[in-house]
Amino acid sequence: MILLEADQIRVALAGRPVVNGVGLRVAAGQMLALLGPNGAGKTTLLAALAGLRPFQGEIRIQGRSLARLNRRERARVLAYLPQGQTAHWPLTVRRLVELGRLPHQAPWHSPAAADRLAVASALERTGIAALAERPFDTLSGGERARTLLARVLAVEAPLVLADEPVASLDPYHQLRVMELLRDHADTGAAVIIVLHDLTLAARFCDELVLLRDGRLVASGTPRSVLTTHHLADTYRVTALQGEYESQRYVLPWQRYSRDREYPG
Amino acid sequence: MTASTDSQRYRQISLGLVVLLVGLTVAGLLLGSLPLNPWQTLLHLLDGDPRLAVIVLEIRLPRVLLGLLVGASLGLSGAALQGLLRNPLAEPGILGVSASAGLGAVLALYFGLARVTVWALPGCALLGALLATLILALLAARDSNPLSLILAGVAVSSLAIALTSLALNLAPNPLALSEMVLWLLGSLRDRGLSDVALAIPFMAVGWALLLSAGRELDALTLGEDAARSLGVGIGWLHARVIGGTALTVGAATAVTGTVGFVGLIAPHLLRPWLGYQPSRILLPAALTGAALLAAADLAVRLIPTRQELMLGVVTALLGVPFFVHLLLYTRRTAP
Repeated sequence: MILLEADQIRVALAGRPVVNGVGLRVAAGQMLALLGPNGAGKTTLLAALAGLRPFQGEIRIQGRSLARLNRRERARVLAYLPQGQTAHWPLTVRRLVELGRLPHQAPWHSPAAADRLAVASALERTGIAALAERPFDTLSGGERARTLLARVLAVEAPLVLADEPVASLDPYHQLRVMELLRDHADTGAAVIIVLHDLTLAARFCDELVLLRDGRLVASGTPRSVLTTHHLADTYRVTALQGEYESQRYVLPWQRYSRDREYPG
Repeated sequence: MTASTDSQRYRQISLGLVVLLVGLTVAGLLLGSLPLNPWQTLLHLLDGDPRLAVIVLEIRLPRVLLGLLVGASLGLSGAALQGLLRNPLAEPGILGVSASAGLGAVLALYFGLARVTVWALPGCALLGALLATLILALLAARDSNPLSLILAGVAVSSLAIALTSLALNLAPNPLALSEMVLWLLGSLRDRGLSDVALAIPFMAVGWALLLSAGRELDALTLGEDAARSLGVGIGWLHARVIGGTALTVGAATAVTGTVGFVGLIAPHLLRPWLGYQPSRILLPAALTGAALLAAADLAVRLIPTRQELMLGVVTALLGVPFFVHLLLYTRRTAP
């Protein structure tokens, strides 16, 4: 089942076109990575998919036009983790995760049983149940990342949009966060994630979308997208590629300098 | 600390504050400059002493009521603004609403409107507050970034203070000058039940707007984009908090003059006990603000000075050291 479908998306920021005619689709159970160099328009595209930036084109979620969903409906079908997410007040972990239940709660009502269950499950899955009463500012980087991810999971939305959720995490926590998102997709959700780590993208994602200068360069399976040619064309690097335990790795190795010719 | 003891603590603190408020109200009614102790006052009052009834019901009661209402308004709007602007140093004065209300009142005194009808001064003050809000709303509609809003507030505030100074500068006579200056210092002295009646409708609407924003202010902890993705309408939230502040603080300033620092301090007094979640601070901050102002007014009345101290002076004298402590402490814990 196609969960999200986007056609000919154009987004302009301050009059400058940042995303220029990109289309993509993601099905339930799939994990899709948005790739591309800095400034390619990944973050802007993801924010548009979340309904947070004005766009031209058509975005349908579960067959319904995003533009026709009201705020609460939209908040229940998609959960969004912004780039560099942090907490402005040092709330406890539990209180932060509870914020994910906001779209489900009527005003002036205390959390219902379903809300408490969703929060408990999110805390459990991210392995932070023991930290539930700790203030956010006393957590390590990895614990913070898991807390913010738990907040996203607590929404229990069929669609999760995460912007660089593994940035500035150690290798252990990068793998942990990717596994959590992969597990979430395996339970039937669709996950769209902005990534810079090509190996993580190749290993954990079903579908890659490669952008450059706001345009679609390639989309499809990791094998078809992460070619030597595409990496040279978009990231301007060569990469070591291979397989280990029948999974692909892609290791950026050398950049092309300005005066050096790209290979065909 | 689990979720249930958490809400127990919230109830205990709120209840404690209510008990404190009842105590301060009784003290405010029974204590004063008369050479009678509270017990004698109560006995005379129950005997039906008409002179004492006038003092307690027509002089002290409006004063105590206004203190509670104004304090609650300042505390509540301070807590809501700190949540909206995600800044622990925000307070109602920062938006320029109090300064604009002050300007309205000073103009009413300057042009002698205040002598025409008793409604002129608070009416002009409210008008000033609403005008400032309109300017802020127009600026916020273009750009909802907290920093832009704070800068806009500083601009509105500076303009209002400059125009107020101009009015003082051009004051027709020393009497008018002292009248304006004393009003600006803030006081609950010689207020009547008509002042209470004037302020209450505006405050009630403002309180409702501010209290309704709790959950959305919580979501704003995650930043604007994440809050919007959780279904929060940012523009509507701004409109409610700014509008609610204008109504409550505008009405408060209209009847008492400028009283600073209560809105800043009240939320901070609660955070060590109640945590940082904006929605859990709102109501207790209103109660704390009311208690602070009631206590400050009691102090003003009981401290024997040659002239009665002005309320705004006392809250500022107590507030500034707290503000400095806050600045130092915030810098230490900033991420």
